[in-house]
Amino acid sequence: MMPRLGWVPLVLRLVLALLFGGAALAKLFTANGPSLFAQAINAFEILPEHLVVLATFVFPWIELICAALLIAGLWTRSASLMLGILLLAFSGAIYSVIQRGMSVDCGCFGAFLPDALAAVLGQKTGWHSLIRNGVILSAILVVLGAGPGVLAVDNLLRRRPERPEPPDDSPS
Amino acid sequence: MGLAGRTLAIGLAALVAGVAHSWVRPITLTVQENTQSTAVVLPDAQGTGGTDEPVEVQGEGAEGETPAGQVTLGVEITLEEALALMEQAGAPFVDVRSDELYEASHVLGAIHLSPDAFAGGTPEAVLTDLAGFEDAPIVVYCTGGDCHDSHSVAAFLQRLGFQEVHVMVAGMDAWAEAYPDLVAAGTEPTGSEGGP
Repeated sequence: MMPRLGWVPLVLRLVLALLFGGAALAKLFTANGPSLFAQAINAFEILPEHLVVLATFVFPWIELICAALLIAGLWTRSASLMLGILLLAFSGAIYSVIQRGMSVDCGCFGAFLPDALAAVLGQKTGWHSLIRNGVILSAILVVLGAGPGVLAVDNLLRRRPERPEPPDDSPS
Repeated sequence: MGLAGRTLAIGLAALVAGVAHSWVRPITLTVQENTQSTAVVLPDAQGTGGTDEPVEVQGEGAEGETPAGQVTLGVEITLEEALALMEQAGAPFVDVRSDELYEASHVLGAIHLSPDAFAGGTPEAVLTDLAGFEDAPIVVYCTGGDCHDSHSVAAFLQRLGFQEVHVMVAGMDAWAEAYPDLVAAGTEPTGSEGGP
């Protein structure tokens, strides 16, 4: 178990929530967001078409639900674990694409990132995508290990109710 | 409920939300058959009774030989068929590759339109350069090989109401090799009046 890190988990929670929540909103609710993300997944040539359509909606919903949970600090470790699993799955897909010598759009953040940031992080898949995912995964592991930190619903739920006073049944 | 149970619950909630979302907002991945197709005369059929005038053939995905020696085209077309559409039907070409690749070389007169341009809705180039081509043939291409972007953009254009969108599957590299005289560099003037 990691030591409590004060405000660090809170900051990481909010950064992760902004990153995954923003990406999910761009993939799910912009004009052609779902279509663009579907084409990106399809270009990886890993999933059959009917699963591509399912993944197009389920993956961003995982991101969105986890982002909401991270902001609230509710089920923090579970949300972190889920995002970690998702990120490992994405990384595995990217590694597969690299191994096959393909050059495809990552589709990782939809149209969420500003152009300048997208240019830095790279829209095409490559080793830089795996390094970026490694950095994000490190943040996830910190939250997973340290817990929600301050300002979290989990802290309220964990607080034990005060012990009721035993009935005074002693003989008077 | 423990860590694993809660994680599973998040996954199930996302699955339910995702399935419901895909039902409310269905998407198609593949390019659909065109609702109309232009007939052209291919080089090896020239001089065998065909004419240079394109003939519009109505019908779902019509493809094959016509009595006049003309060929009606499917969604995916060859270099020769793309050239015939350019010369005989004046079809506009849409380059969906990156800015850098487009500026380095593109099909003469091609419009630049990457899939990302559709992220915010209908791109400006569709409203200007392709205005008036809703019922005319359009040719979309990317680099060829593994490139999926031409199919993505073709599907977007079909959804926007363009009736006849073709994908030149061999791509720009093969075009440049086959028709070096029909290659340009730099940027093309945009916002020109459209219409076949």
